[in-house]
Amino acid sequence: MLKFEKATIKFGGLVAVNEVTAEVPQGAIFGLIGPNGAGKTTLFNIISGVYAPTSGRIIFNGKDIQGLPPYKINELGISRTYQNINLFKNMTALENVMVGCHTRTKAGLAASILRTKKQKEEEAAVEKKSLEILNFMNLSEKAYYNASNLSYGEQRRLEISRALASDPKLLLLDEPAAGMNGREKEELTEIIRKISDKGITILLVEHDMKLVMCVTHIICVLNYGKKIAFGDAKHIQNNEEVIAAYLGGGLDV
Amino acid sequence: MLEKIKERKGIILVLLAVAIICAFMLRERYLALVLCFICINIIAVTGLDVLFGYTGQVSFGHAAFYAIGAYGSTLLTMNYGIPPAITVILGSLLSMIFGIIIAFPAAKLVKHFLSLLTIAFGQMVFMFVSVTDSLTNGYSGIINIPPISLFNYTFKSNQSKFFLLLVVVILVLIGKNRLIKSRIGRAFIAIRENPHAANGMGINVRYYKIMAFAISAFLTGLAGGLYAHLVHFISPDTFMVTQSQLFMTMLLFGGIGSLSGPVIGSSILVIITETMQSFVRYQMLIYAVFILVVLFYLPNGVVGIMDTIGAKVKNKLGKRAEENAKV
Repeated sequence: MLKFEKATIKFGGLVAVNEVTAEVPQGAIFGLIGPNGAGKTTLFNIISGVYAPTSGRIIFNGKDIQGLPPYKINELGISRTYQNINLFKNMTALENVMVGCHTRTKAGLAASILRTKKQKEEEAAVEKKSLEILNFMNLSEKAYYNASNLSYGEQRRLEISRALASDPKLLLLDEPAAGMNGREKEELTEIIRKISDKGITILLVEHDMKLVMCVTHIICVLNYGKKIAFGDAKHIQNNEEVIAAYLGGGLDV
Repeated sequence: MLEKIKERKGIILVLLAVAIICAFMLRERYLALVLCFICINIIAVTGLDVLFGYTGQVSFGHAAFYAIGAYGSTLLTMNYGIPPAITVILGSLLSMIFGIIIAFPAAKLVKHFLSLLTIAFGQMVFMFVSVTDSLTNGYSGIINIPPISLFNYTFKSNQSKFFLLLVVVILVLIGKNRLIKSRIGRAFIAIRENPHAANGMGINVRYYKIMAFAISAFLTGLAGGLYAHLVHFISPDTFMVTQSQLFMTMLLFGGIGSLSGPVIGSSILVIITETMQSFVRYQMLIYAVFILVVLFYLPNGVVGIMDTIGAKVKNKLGKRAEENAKV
């Protein structure tokens, strides 16, 4: 579904992502892990269009997407959340999700000002769909709260809700568990499984190993921008290079 | 939904106030003229609000669009004999075209860079209308601009002009309300709140920023055209940088990003300007004080203060109800 072919990005002399080649299969929960500064978020930003790769290709459903602007990538069916929460703070939770529906709606300027029948129907459908998503994410009670008044865990879930609103085929989750407590993490694991059950492919960057190991099907490990391991949880846990990267190499263990 | 009711309440209150004033002003010519100025400023400031209040793009050059609307309508009607009712719209469209042209570079800029660009644009238009004597008659201005007529009725008296302007204001406010409550309005607000996230959520940020400029320029141009046919005289003096600052003061004082903010801000500032005619020299000083008051005490303008008071009253009533329930 999503393929990287020698994806590389350089910032000056720093090679943040170095010739990473991998494939995310349809329907999988794909984990992307690695120590701090390994290039995980940078790779995310390449997929979602924030950066264009210096060289290499990103192929989504048979289409080259490298270098496209973020809004076009979203339109193609890739939606994302952010590591440091990037909500529209002065909008309600519901409005945040409704903004997420943007690419799947059409009403133009004239239709909006004249409030045509079609536009009204579309608005009603958008509101209904957004409420359903909030309900799915256990946020329906907070629908009319300002996003900035939600708790940290709720804000994280709202980010996912907003990303789901554009009917993505691929969902990119950038450290969704950061700052969550144990109970919230369990809830998040459930939610990720539920989203996956809907047939949405998930690409997950996460530091919480317990969460990654229990929820993902395939894991790709990056270190210093390079892919050092690829496979299922068991394979990764026993990979020497991965252990060295996390615990520090050089010692004979 | 709650917000919807709140916004509607604003409109209703304003209309009520206007109706009461109408009853008094029917005999007062001067008062009618003041109300006309209020209406024109509401339209212009509403235009500025679409740009600044909703997409967060600042403009200190809106007098330029005001000028393009005024001169565009005037020159078209006086040189080509097109009826003013049509040239006002043509002037607004001309202003919109300039808005789009200026938006192409402006949509890439933020904060002080955007301020500088809009100031420069305002200055360019001001200089243009000041020095092109052959077209705009330079500093002497243009006199005897015909009034607007519709269906064989000419809006000559101040009272009739006021009712015409009132209708336009209501249409503009309804249009703005609908726009803001649509997917386009949500895109505007999303861009103001967080342009990066908006882009990531599938909003073509540049496109919507340019659209906001176009709508804003159209409305302020419309106000300019209406102004020309209201006072029958225009000269570059009206379109100096002070006019842009005045629009901004009205918007900030009333409250940005709301339906009633521009209405309240325009009304209060026009009334103050008119009552202090004898201190014309100190006008800018008074506006400066207003800006300082806003900066220090009313970050969300009069509307913000009213919301805060409303919330407090509600809280108190809620608490009292709770206590009563306990007893």
